[in-house]
Amino acid sequence: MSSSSTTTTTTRLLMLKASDGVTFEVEEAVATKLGAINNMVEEEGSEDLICLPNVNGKFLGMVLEWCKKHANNNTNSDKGNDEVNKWWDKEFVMDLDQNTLYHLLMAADYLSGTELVDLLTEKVASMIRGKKVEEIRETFKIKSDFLPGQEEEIRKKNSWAFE
Amino acid sequence: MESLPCNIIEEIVSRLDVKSLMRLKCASKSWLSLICRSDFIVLHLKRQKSSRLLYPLYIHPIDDIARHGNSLSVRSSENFEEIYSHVLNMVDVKSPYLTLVGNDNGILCFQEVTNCDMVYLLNPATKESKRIPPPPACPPRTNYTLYGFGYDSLTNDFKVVKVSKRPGIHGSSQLRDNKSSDQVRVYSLRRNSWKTLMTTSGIFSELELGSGSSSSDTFTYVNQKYSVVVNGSTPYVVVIMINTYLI
Repeated sequence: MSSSSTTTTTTRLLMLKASDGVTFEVEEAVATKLGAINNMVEEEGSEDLICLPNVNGKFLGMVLEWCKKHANNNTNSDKGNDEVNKWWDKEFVMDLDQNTLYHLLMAADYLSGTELVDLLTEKVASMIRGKKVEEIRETFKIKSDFLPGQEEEIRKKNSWAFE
Repeated sequence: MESLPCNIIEEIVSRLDVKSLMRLKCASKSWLSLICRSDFIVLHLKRQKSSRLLYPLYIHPIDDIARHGNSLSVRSSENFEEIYSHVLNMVDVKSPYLTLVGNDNGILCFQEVTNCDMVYLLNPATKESKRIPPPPACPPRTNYTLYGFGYDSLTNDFKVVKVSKRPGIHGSSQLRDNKSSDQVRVYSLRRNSWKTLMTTSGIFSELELGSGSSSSDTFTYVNQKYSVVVNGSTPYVVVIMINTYLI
């Protein structure tokens, strides 16, 4: 009987250091869900301590939480995993306020977390979809910089979209 | 959110449906300019393509023009369900009888049945339409004309091609000796003008030469009856007749 316990290889642990000095100890398999970290790890003789000067501890923690869930759910190849991931993604973005969403997006982009960027950009898109112009402006704090009459002209040209 | 990097903003906006995009255009100048940029349009189309592929088989103008204007209906060739219906806002359309020239990359091209030089482009997603300027006059005694439409990914442009055939039986060597000239004219939406690509004798007889060449710089105009392959660099035109189409 071949037991999997006999073949355990010690998983490499990485230390990720955020801009504010907060450090996270994570398994390599988790951290490499992020393209940027994967690239660093693949380099010959890479160090176990990785400094990430563009992300602070709060958001790095959230990004890593997401990576961890996805890495764990992907280790066993159950069919239900996709569903679990989807459910978990939904929970993850559900109550994010705009400020957090913004900083998470910046962090995910910087760390090349493609799947996480997809998830977050889709969340922002869902905040625009089907909304009135005024609501979009309010949500994203956009000031109209059109000259008088310009906006009306664009509205008139695409009047079907405002019905 | 506006301080997000451009690539992220584009990523977000390219996920939106066209209706939301049309609204977002009104939010501010920077949104407007992003949405109108041609590279963004390409990105958006790529992303949305799978969800709204158009295979219109048949365009039927409803003839109750007085009450509803000129209404256009596009049906799926798979199940014949109406996938799109639109009241054309085109005062220029003289004839209610339209025929489809082709469709590519989300844009439909059709022409009037009674005057084939009246050609229109329509974007069903944004409901924008345009009549293209008429091509230069055909050489005298042209006895048949072919129209084709396609997207040229090399130049990110939509093109309409018009091939005019002088009298005669195609492929006949006798004709070439008689200096019969077939004309190929290409309209570019980007330039909004026609260009005579080449005038040659008997191009219809040369189809064997190019039928196998499908390099990356060729693009094809197809409709149900024929396809025209234009090689941008040579320039070299091949017309493959699926059925002979005589006007």
